[in-house]
Amino acid sequence: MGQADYESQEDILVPAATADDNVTGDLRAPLYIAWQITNECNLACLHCIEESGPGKAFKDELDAKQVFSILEQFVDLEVPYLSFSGGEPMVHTQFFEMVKYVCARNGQLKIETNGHYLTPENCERLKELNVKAVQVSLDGASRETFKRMRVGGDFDKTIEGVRNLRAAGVPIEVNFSPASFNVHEIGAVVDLAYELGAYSFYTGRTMYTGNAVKTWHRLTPSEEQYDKFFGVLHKKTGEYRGRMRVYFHEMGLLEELRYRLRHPAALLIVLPNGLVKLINALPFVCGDLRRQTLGEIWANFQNAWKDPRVTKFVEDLAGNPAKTAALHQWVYL
Amino acid sequence: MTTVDSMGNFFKTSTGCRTKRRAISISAILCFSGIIEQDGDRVDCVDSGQIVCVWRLRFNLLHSWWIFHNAALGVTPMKLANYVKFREEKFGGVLFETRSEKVYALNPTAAAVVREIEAGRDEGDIVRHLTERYRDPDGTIEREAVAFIANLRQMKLVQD
Repeated sequence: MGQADYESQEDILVPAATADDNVTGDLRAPLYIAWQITNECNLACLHCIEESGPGKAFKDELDAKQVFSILEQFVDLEVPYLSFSGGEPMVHTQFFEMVKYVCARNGQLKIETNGHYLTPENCERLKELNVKAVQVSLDGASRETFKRMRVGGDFDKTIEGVRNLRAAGVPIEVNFSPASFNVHEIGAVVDLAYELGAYSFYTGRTMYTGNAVKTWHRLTPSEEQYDKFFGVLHKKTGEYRGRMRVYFHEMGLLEELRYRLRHPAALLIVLPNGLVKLINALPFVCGDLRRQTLGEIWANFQNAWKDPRVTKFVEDLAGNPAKTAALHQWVYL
Repeated sequence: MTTVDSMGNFFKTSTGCRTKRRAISISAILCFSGIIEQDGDRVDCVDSGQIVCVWRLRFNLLHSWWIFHNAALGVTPMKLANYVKFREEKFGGVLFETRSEKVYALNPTAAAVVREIEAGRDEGDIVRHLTERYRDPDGTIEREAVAFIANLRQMKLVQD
């Protein structure tokens, strides 16, 4: 075999695009798929953007055959990273089979759960299956605040679940949703997450959508509370540097969406019925995995971000932030 | 180097320093002396297990010499770190570090290096293999491949 010419490059890691370009368009498939595998949940949280809860499964959720056919496409297109969320993903009847399918094919899988089904046996099983991480929602450092946010939830059970994960050796992430009545506990929750063995901690502003629309008056922190909240997070980021990563998004939704218009994420949001959303914070649907292939949907996704209806929706948010209340009235692109 | 956050947003970071073979040798020497010291202490302190410890010391000396020898020759076995995934793309490829949820975009040369790592080749083999495939009269490929591998090590995207 003859030698090919080598074109020298100044920097070996120069990518296909720079920070100002839309690099997502150069990828042949998404890098991350966040799949809400069911809308059913054992809890009815005040802030739930999916309006999940007991008896809230969609009537048209995917059946087992459809689920595994879709998973096969994810594997075939080498999507490197998947997450299963809900609702509560662990109540899905095929949950462990789905986890097994992905992990056995070398997929990196994260589970996002409320922690109520993290029994020692289930944690052992997740470890055996080699999930990449389990993210547990912990919206308070005390029983009182936790229970106010997570209606029907049990703080002790959640903590016990996280301890079971640690005992089994499953990597742990903790997620926190701020509310007017729990923001003062943020420092204590970060400390608790570290004590429980988490390697990452996530938080950001609570969104005005889903259940939060009905509970906003008692849910939303004031800007003054948010200032203190982010101040503590900055401090904690430094305090835990090298031991636990503290991630938080200070940006408001409008700024985030304006940014995404220029830099779409290489991320698809899959709903329990197979519809694919552009991003959680917008009502736009760019595909249906029951009728289209992942490849077709990925191509639609690139164009959908350029659709004038998407731009208009984002710009209208500047004048009317309450437009996010209608995120579940899907708009098909 | 260019990275992407969990939302697929690419951003620039600076490229790291370029590794030279001397740096590899120095690190091997440090590792070598650390092992001797550790086992030397055990020999002094443990009576009943002294023979076992002496044998372990000898084994470790031999093992350390082998590591040192290989490292000095640039033949350290390598593989992608546990949480790193690679995917080929038209522009080269992407490395996704799923714990930090960062993605690194690779040009074709960098992607070729990662393919070699995935094939189980060591640093020396990778460089040899690439220079066999491409004309490299001024040693550019070798320099860039070595620098890239050093970057991967520095960012803990590979493990030896």
